[in-house]
Amino acid sequence: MRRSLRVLQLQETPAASAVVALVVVFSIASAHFRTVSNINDLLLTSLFVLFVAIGMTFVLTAGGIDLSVGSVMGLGGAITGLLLEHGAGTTLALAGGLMSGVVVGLLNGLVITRLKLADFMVTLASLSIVQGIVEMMTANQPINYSGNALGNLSGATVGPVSVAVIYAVVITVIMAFILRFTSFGRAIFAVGMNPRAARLSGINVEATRVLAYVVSGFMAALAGVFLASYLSTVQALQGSGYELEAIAAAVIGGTSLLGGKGSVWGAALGALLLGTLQNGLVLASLSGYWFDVVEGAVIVAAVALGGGLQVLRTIAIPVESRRARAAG
Amino acid sequence: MMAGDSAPRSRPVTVADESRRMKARRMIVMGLANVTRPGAAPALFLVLVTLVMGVLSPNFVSISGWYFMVNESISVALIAIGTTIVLISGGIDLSIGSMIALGGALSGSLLLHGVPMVFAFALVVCVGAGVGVVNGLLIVGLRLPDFIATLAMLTAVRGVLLIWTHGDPILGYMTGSYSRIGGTTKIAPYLSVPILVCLGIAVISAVMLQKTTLGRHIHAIGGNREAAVLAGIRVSRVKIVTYVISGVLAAVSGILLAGYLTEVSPGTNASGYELIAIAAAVMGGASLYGGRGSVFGACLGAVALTVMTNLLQWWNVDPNLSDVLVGVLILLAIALQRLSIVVAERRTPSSRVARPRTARTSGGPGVARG
Repeated sequence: MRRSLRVLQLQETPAASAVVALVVVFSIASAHFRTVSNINDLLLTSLFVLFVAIGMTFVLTAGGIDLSVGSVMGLGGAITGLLLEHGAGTTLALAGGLMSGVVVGLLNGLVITRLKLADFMVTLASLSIVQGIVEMMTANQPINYSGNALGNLSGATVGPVSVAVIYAVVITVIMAFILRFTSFGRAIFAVGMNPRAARLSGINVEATRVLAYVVSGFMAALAGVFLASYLSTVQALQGSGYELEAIAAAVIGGTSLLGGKGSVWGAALGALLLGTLQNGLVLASLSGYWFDVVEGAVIVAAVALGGGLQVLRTIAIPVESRRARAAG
Repeated sequence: MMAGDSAPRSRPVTVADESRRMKARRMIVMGLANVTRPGAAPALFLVLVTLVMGVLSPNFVSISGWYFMVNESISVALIAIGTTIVLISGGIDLSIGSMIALGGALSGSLLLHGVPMVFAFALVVCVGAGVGVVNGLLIVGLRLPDFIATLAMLTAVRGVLLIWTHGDPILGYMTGSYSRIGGTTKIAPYLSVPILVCLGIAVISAVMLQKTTLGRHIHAIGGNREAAVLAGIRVSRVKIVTYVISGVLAAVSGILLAGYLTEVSPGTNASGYELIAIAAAVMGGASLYGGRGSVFGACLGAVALTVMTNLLQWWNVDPNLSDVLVGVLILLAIALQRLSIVVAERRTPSSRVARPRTARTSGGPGVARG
């Protein structure tokens, strides 16, 4: 009884059960879905949303929001591509691309915390600014990835699994560890839950929030490099719309828009849920337009389910505390 | 707090010195407070544009130049009004862009099927109200965050539109009377139906917000939701009403935009308009945290955004650079708004006293009961 209650308390439960249910349904419905190569494809196409959603989880948990990630994806891909074109080594090019995401995140965070402006508006403005910059960088010729060192990121495989998928798993584990077990991660929860209490307990609230935006910018740039490698080209608008998809994935995974509650694993499950849906609907030979409708319905269902579990939790907690008192 | 601080000085400060400094400081503060009223940032921008362009290239700010720019901004101004109302109540409506496209596509194809214009438009407005009701019910009934519910509707409505039209553009619905109602045909010198419609809706909305019970309830909910509940305001009903207003205005905006553009492409029509509307509303003095907003400020914000893009086109600025500049100007506008809050706090020191905020207690009452 107690165990089952504890499962209910996990914020990842709705997303996890939805993913399992979908995978089961699609596996029964389509023989092609359950092939290893299709599952690998599914993971490969979900990892862009996954990276952005992980970064978004840091920002949302700290009580902010980052709308600029869609443009930062384009920026990271473009700068890495340009550096490779000009003969920089792979490491240097990758570092340059990721650094551009860090810089945008840093600027977002500094403007928001120093000038005390609304995060929604600041990151909306930087969405537009960064998009313009990337458009100017890519205006004369689209940056081609097919020939360069990072071009084969999504093609290379270890056995049946893409290398990119392995990277994604490693990165997810690292980010989950950072949010859950480091003092920076704990500070993010504290700042998002109650900034004043966090300040009084000695946490540097501003620095924590700025760092959350830096993480988001970094992850968006990383997603941009992977997307550029996957599509083998960079256009300014190729990341547009990812900000809303990433927020959806994070929230499906149990992260709160009000801050103080978030999970990297939840975000990963949310991204996986959206990816599975897209993959399954294509296999069901429904027009891609259905994905929009179903995605909307899934967001509503997952968040409403999370709310329902919250109600169950508040009913369950008194029972537990009563038991604890009886035992103690 | 006052100008006289206790730091040691090299020269003794006379009373006259001090009072002069106080007076200068008060004048600066008063001046700042005036230029930071709701809608002042876009108004200031428009005045500056008029003055500078009046010297540099008078054609840009001629009456017909203004007429074209105002006409172009109408569809954004309408949704900025709706967004302002939703923002005042503490909500946010992201479904607007898709609703505009659905409204335009629906009115176009109804007209193509020979439905009389009055019925077609009435039906579109009803669909807009329906989307608003769904938004409201998701938020109030299922207790979804406003952001999430309307985000889901943004994708879902666009998906429905694409499934229905198979992504094919809707063309050939323009008639003489449609272009008089929604398009650029003038009904009097420098006056078009969209401008009249927008003015009428702005006046009605402003009166509704300032003078009616509903308007006060909308402000109350956004200002302090708990207090509004305790005061007996039917929060759920008022919230649904704000989303219905926003949906209806998006539908009207869709009808007018379809007339202005003379075709509706289901995939791209009005995509991103929800964010432009929020930018216009916030530039016009609305707060993303609820409780504050100005209908006329939002309209000025919409005109200012349109003038901004026109200005950059006029100067042949690289359209990519204009993205950058629009972003920078939005930042400047909200920085100015922030300044107004700081100034207001300086003027009334008592408002700086921290309001006690209810701490978040996880399942507090439940634990107490156990």
